[in-house]
Amino acid sequence: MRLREPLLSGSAAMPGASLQRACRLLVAVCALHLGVTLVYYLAGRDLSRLPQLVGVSTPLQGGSNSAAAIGQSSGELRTGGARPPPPLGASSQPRPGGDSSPVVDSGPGPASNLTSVPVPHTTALSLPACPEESPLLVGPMLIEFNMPVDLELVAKQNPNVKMGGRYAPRDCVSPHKVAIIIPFRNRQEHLKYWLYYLHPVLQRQQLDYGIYVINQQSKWKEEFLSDLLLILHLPSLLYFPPPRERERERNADLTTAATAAATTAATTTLAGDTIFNRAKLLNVGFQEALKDYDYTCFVFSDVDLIPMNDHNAYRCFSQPRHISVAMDKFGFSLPYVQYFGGVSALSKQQFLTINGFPNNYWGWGGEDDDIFNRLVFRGMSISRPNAVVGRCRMIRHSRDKKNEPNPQRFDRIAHTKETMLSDGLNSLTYQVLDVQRYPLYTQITVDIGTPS
Amino acid sequence: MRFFVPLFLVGILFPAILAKQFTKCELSQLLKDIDGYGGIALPELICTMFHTSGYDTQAIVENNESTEYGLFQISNKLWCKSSQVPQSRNICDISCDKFLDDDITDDIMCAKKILDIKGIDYWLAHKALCTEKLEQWLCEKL
Repeated sequence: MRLREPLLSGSAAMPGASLQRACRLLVAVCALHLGVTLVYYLAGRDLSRLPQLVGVSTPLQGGSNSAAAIGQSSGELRTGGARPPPPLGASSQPRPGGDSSPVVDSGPGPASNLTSVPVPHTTALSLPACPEESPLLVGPMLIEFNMPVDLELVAKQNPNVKMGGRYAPRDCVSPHKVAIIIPFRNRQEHLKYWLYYLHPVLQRQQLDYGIYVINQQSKWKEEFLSDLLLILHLPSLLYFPPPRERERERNADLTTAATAAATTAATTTLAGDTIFNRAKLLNVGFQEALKDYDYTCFVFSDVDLIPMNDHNAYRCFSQPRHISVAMDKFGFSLPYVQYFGGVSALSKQQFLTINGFPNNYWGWGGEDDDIFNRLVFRGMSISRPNAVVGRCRMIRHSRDKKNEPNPQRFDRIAHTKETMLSDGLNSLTYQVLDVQRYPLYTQITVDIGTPS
Repeated sequence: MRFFVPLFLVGILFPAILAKQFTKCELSQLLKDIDGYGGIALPELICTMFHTSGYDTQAIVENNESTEYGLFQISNKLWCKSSQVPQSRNICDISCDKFLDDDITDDIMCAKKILDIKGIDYWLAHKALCTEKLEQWLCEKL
């Protein structure tokens, strides 16, 4: 009871007046807190500031459990490194600062402080064309996945790769302007291996390339989670001391525990996300990469596939190219002749001819067979390297959550001829939530919706 | 001490034995007796099973109301018994779990019943991917 006196203005002899003042103080504090919350919310919902938010209010709520719990769960939400800037919004505007080609940029100059791509001063005219086959290739490579990868170190090891994962040979002009599109969700460890192995290979192949990681995320997850966390810690603030000290402590503990539990529960359930759609992400990658640069070739690569021989060219050919022809998972041979999954390359024209990729394959399987069908129906055939050059390693992993085998896939494959007319680039809708330029790649976080 | 070494070896071998992923030729050898059964040539069957389960005896796929088991992805809706679908007709008169082990003689027995009653179209992969380019599914060693 003694501890209560300083908090309540006025003596215990006049409970009415002191209670009134206490209530007024409560309302004032809540209003102030809501105001501060609103400021942070409008400033971009940066969750990493949450611990500070909660820490500021700690003296009032008397419990540090929720601060730790919320701080921990907000740390889980961000998988990448840098703090994201406010989302760019509509996807129809060209993106500033993405172009780092040797030719002088005639597009819009970098208008935001999001990117810092320097425009090189060399002009195209003074450089010869790169040779048909690069003299830098080494042939078979040893690929292992048992060592940790530090991306900062990888960036240092590849100093010629520019911000956003862009590179062009310095001594010659490459005819291959390649955007490498990687469909992605929650595979950061695999991505690190991919970048570690592929950047040296792509540079040795003397390609003019850019790396685009297309990260599937539900828009509702991001907004809802940040709002939920902010809202959830409010009740623990509102908990003003009741007459009994012991009761207050017990209830305060309950509130913080409940807040922490609800937060973790929300995070884990919402972290499940919506069902994965590889082909639609690749469509998005095609469109978004073209906003950066005049790419003429698109390599579509799963994040867990690494080539074992750098003679396996990650660029386009006169026919659609299948690159991952001999995966260790399939005994270093082609599982079936119509197989087109894993890593493939289509020129811009080949891609447009088939109306891009299907948007309606949700879950695992079938979309690569659909793409194969599309190519065949447009009179194209698959070009492949031999099984020795085409050897690839796949990083072993268990089946992802929210990417179960698609039970409709066989039925859909049987109808590609009709569906390709209306399902593809011409029906693609999505919302870009975020664009991040990392030293070794560009990550585009996108909401591609759910099965309709 | 001498007693424990063989026990240890058996202990590590046992799980290894259970995880069975056939190759095309291994499966062709096991299925050669049903070549032509129900009008389906062996390469068609091999192709269908590759696309259905990847030749993995432990393949299990859960859908909303049913689950499919084993190399032939036999469904508990009609063909075998499991706790998920207690009202299943259980035409093959067997517990679905038996389709997840190494021994595929019971799987083959049930697959034959499926071919009898429903036909090859029980496996949707057949029509989608196994009606042409069938030479690739032949095993040259047989």
